[in-house]
Order: sequence, then structure tokens, then C-alpha cells
Amino acid sequence: MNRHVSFRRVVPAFVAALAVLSLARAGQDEPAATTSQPANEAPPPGRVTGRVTAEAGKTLPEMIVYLESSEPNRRFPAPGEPAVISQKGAKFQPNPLIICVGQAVEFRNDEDRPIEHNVFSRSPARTFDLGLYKPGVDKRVTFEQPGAVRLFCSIHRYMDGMIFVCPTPFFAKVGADGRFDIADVPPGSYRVKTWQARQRFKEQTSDVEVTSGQAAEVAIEMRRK
Amino acid sequence: MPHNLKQARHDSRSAWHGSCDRWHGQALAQSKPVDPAERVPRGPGHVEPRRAPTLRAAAMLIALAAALAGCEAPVKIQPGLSGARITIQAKPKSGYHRPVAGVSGVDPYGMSTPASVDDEVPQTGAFALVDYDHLDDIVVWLEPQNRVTPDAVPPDITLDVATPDPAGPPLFATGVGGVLRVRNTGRRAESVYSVSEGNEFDLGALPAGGMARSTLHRPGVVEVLLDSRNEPLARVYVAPSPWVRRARGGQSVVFADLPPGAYRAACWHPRLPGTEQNVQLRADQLTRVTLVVGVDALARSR
Repeated sequence: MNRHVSFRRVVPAFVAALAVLSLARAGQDEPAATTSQPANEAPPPGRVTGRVTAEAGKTLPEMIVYLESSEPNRRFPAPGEPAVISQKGAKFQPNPLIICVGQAVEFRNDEDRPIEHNVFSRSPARTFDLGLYKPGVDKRVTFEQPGAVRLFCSIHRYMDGMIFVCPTPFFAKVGADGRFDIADVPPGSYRVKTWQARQRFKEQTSDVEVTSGQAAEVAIEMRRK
Repeated sequence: MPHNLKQARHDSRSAWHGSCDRWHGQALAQSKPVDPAERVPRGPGHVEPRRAPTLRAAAMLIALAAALAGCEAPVKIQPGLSGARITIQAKPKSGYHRPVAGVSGVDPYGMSTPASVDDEVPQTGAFALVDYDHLDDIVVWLEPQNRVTPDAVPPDITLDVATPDPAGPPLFATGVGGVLRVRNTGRRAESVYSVSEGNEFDLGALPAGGMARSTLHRPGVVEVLLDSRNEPLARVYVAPSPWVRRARGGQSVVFADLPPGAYRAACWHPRLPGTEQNVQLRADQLTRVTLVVGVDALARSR
């Protein structure tokens, strides 16, 4: 009962405070907003779909299609949760891992036997050496530059993996039929790009305009030149 | 002569130098110019200064053993030119104790050390360890700092389209401007190409018995691809210099008859970071350089 009483008191006070703030803002020299849409409400996103084919009917390698904003200063928030790479069985899993610029990756030594690893990368997009560490220990790295990052272990000769750091959170794996679908894309101008984990063709680039609530269709042909 | 055969012969010569350095137990000072007298062979037939008979006999025995072990040959340098002997050391991560069956936990001096955590697991299959004592596929080169390489030609490479190597695509080394030849020794036509940035080529469908060539223009790794295979036929490391060799950990490679001047000695490995070092080569001298391959070359980051 008391809680209801206090709530009744707090709500009118909060509304009054908001009214005072609104009056104060109205007194400033800023022009009054003329749009009927609240400023923080983004327009509905669009999507980019399409199909990738290879010249002369060749088989497509494992690949992704991703978007890069045509506006150089446009930034998109990275997922707050880190991605996780397992090292069990002296193998990096998943491999390859696709993340977004600004996202962190947790390198988890989850071996069920007392095996230490030394994960490192010397790729230009991110150079690091996590040192020797034992099971039960996780180490975290944040990736601030787009590009491919090759992973190795300095102890185990066949232990290698790949992270592709995408410049935006908008990417999709290409299916066996060549189809891809990138959803929830804010309207704007983008470059559509390809990335192959094991490169068999030249990477391709094309432009696309994403409009609110619409799907833009893109056809990509992978070629050697 | 196929390039891989040439490379194998070169490797055996390099191993010869490397084992000799270890055999003599010489501490290799970094970038240390060697006294020209040191280039004189210490093998049979060499006139040694007067010594006590026992010392002389010991010296002869050592020289004989060195000769039998296939050790160091003299490095001849043309008058007015210079040379460099680059020794490669492959090192595991500092603090890592490689497990030794049956003796883990005790070092060679009988001191107690923490047992490696790898002792309890197999070291085969996915758990196979990097063999730092015999680390292969190291590329080493000398690059003039003024980027002028008069009359120097990088080594050519000839690849045979044969059955795939079960150990994976072999690695070859050349420099910018090096020529890659691909010979189709198989029974059917093969489409050979590369999409490696700066070194793209498409040799088309090579008929059985056919050969085609491409010049490599940009430093970096080139993957030579075949339409018929998922794995590359080979990988080629293109160094920014014509003075380039392949080496193993512990080996020394010699570059002779170079113009004196300032150089950068560097090495590369497909997995592990290499190091580089500036060296000054002087006329009529052999300069020794040691380069390290290992993860400690990277800055530690978390």
C-alpha cells in the first residue's frame, strides 16, 4: 500500500520536472523541431539479398558477403557481448569466426586435459601474443581494425584459425546455392564486398542503396581477374 | 635442374655450414665482422702456426672430424666485394618447457623445474608440437637499404604439376622480378592461376607436357592455384630483394659477392614471426648476422 502511495507522489513530481525542462529548452535559441517523428526513432531497416555465382560454373569457396558504408565516418555499434573461440583439441572453433569492428573475442582454453596454448597473431589488422596459458583461463582481445586476422599457437604446429573483422555488423554467409541475405540494414549507401576464407577468386565489390523497409537485390560474379 | 632439387642441394650446403657453427661451439656475435684470416680453411692441408705437438695433433683431429662431419667450407669473396653469413635461430615462447619423455620435471642439470602441462597428453595428430630444432620453411634475405641491386637476378622457380604433397603445399622463395615456371607433368590439361594481390596471373589450360611462366612483381606470399585442387599447388614467398634463400632453424646461409654498403637482413616464416636487422657490409669481409624466428618477436598484448 505504501508503495502505491509513494508511486503516486513520484510520478507527478517526475512529470512536473519534465515540464520544467521542456520550458527551459523552449527558452533557448534552438529552432523548434518540425518533424512529427521522434529524433531517436530510426526508420525501419532494409535488407540486402542476392546470389553469388562463379565464372564458368566453378564451385564457390566458403565465403561471406558484407557491407561497408560509403560514408567514411558512419559508425555502427558493435555487439556488446564478446565472441568466443574454443581451443579444445588444439583446434580453433569456430573457424573462421566473423565479427564486427569494435567487438571483443574471448580466447578460451577449454581443453579437458592439462594442455597449455599460446595464441598469437601477426596480421596487420591485429597483432597480439596472449602468452602461455592453461585450461580454465580465458583471454580477451578487442578488434578495432577491419580485415583478416590469422591465428596460430606457438606450441601446436597444426593449430591455426582465422577471424574476419567486418567493418560493419552487416554480413551473411553465402549458402551452398550462392544465396545470401543481410537483414536489419539501416538505410543508406553501401559497398557490397566478398571475403573468401581460402581465396580462389578476386574479391568483388559493388554498390548498393538500401531504402527503408525494402530489399535490395545484388548479383555478384566471382572471377579470377 | 628442377628448382626443388636445386633448393634441396642448397639446403644441404646450408645445413653443412650450420652444423659446423654448432660443432665449433662458436658464439655468433650479431653483425660481427669476421677477420679475413677466419676465412682460411681449418681442414687437412692447412698450415697451422707452430704449436706444441699435442695441441697440433688435437687441432688435426678436430679438423679431421670437422671434415668428416661435412663442415664449413671457406667463403670466397671477390676483391672489393662483401659477404654475409646469416644464422637462423628458431626459438619457442620464453618460459615454455617442451616435454621430454621420462625426464619431465628435471632439467639436464638436475634442478627441479615445473613439469610441462603437456606431459600427460599425446603429441601427435592435432597435438603435434612445433619442432623448433628443425623448423623448416624459413625464408631469409638481404635487402640493400638504398634499394639498388645491380645485376642481381632473383632465383627462378620451376613447379611440377604432379600428385599433391601429403605434407601440404610446398614453399618456395624468390625475389621481386623472379620468374615462376609451371610444368604440367601430369596426363591431362591443368588450369594454373594466382589471385594473390599484386601477383595475379592466369596461365590458362596447360596441356600435358606443357610449360608456362609468369614474373612475380610484388613482395608477399603467392598461392599458385589449380582448378582441379582445393589446396594450392605451392606457395611462393616473394622477398623484396634478389638475395634470398630458404633455410631451417639452426642453419646458416651465405650471401657472397655483394656490393659493400648498408643492408637489412630479414627472415620470414609462414606461421612464426621473424626478425630483421640492419647490417653494414664492408669490402673483403664476411659479416655474421643472427636472426631469430619465434613468437617473442611480437609485442605482448592482452
